Amino acid sequence: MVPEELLERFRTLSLERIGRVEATWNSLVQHVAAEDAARQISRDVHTLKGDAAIVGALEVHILCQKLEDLLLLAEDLHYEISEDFELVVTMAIQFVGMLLRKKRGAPMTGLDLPGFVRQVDDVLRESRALPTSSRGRARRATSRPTAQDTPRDRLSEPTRQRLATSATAVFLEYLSARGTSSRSRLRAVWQTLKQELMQMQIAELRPLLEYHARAAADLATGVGKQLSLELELADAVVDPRVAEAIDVAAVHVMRNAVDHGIEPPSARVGAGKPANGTLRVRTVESSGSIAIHVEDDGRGIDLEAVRQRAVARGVIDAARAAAATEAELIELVFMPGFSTRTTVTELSGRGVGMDAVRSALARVGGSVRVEKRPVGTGVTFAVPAPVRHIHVYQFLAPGGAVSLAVSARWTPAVEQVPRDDAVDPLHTIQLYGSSRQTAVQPPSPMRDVGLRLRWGFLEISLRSSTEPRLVMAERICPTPDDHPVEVVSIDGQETLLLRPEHLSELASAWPGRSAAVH
Amino acid sequence: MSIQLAKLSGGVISAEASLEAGSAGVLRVRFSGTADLEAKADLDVFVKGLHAEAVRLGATRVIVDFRELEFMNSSCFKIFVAWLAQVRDLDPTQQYRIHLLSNPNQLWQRRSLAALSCFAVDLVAIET
Repeated sequence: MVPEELLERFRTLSLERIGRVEATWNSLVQHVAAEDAARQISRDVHTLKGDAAIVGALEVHILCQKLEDLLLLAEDLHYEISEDFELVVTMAIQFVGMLLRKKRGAPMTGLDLPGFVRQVDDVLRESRALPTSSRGRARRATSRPTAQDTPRDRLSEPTRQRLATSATAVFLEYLSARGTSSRSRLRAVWQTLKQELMQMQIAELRPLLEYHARAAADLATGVGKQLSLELELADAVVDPRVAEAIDVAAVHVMRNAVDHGIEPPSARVGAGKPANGTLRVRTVESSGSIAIHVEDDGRGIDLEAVRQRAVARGVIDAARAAAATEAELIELVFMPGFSTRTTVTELSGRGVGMDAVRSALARVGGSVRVEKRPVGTGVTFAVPAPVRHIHVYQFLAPGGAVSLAVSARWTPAVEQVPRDDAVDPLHTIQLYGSSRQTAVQPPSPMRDVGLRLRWGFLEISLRSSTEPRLVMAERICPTPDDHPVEVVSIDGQETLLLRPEHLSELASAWPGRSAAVH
Repeated sequence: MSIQLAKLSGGVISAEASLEAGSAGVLRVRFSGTADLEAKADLDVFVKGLHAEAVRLGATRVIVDFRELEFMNSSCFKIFVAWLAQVRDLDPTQQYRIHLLSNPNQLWQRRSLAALSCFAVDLVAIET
């Protein structure tokens, strides 16, 4: 039984994926798609199909299989397809969405999946039977949609940044609030928002990999194989975007291990191996990156089959194939559409797999490496570790009540007497006001020092009450790089990180809080 | 009781709903013209309104007459898929059946209506 929280994660990710499939499909049939749209849609449907198999969503798996058939044919037809064809693809996407929204255990009342699959099969048969010249249609004169449906990404970076911007505004309100009650209320709101944001910034690697490994074991059982798991997983965290890429990579790599690598028990025993195959998954953290090793003790990559397939597909000529090194042959498995399988199984064989793994990881700055081991195959993906800490110059604002910082990209120089044009940062972010409204009061300027900050051709002078010190700050509420302010933590103390180059944009960042940079 | 749903007209598609004379709880809606991208927004509003009226009036059946509708594209079909989902999600006591009247001479209706009915076979019937 798949745990409810994993099923929920499958639903959430799959709904986003099917939304993306729909948008990509629309662009393909309107002939306004990006260059790699056909590959992208194939990857998405293939991954969705694999995920569905793992969580036991059989109906979704079946429909995705049909969608893959339709998409392959549509690509062959250069998306010059009949109205019926377009309709069944659109409806298949809707059907998948409806199945994904269905509550666990809820009956399929009214949904006629076999009937719908028959409709798809009819369309496929008819479209394949048509002579090439008749397959395309004279497309109806329709106006191009003014807006594409775009999938909603609940954890997208822009969304997180918008939340961080709002949380930062609350923090500033807290700093400037007067009265114990207001301050404690705003402090509580800020703390809640901060906690939520920090949760959104990290994804734990261990449960994700455990889930995929166990799913692979279940999948092996389903196809009559036996699989033991060896997991050595560190308590590492990654950025949610990286976790999504690992999600895609893990599903393909572990499914490949079950389908291509691990042999049936009888074959293993015949080869002198234990009946149980082993899938070993381990994580290794090093400075700046995390490596995930997935190793199996199966039959290993059939390099001869890769060589023959590459020649058959015209990727390389026979002479070059004969001379190709092991590394060169392994590199071929990353080619789009490359598969040594001549038939398509429920698990794999469409040639959409390692290509998707490499693309997904590359999008987040990661990489993948495959190696043929003495026994079996080893796949390693390396992903960047989250960047949580940055170097900053910390100083106290005039008056000494508020801790401030600027990025260490700036070079500070201290002047014992501030220049006339030196900016009081607290005035700029409007933390001062009448004594009735605000807690922070302007200090005597006599105690200020000047902080001349230089970064390239930029120069700005700020008033400060202390000299700056270079320290490490933790990003607890990351706002966009072009936002004037961010709250960071230095030795557990919340500090306002200023971006002097953007302070003049404060008014547009928060309409109620006008800027005053001179 | 009377139906409170504005007629859809003036664009590429027309639609009008009425209470079926002599049949309590039956609504009839006639579509004509072309349901393409240009019609999508209006059609969406109309179908949502139709569903709301069917629920308000406690309809047991809605007859959808597509016989004069010359074409419907996939975007517009999605509106009908969403409608079927809404009807399926209703409490069983509020659900109503949907009869699709099709025209065998309109080839586009042959497969599309059959596929549409797969989303709610217990609620949808196709009549020619």
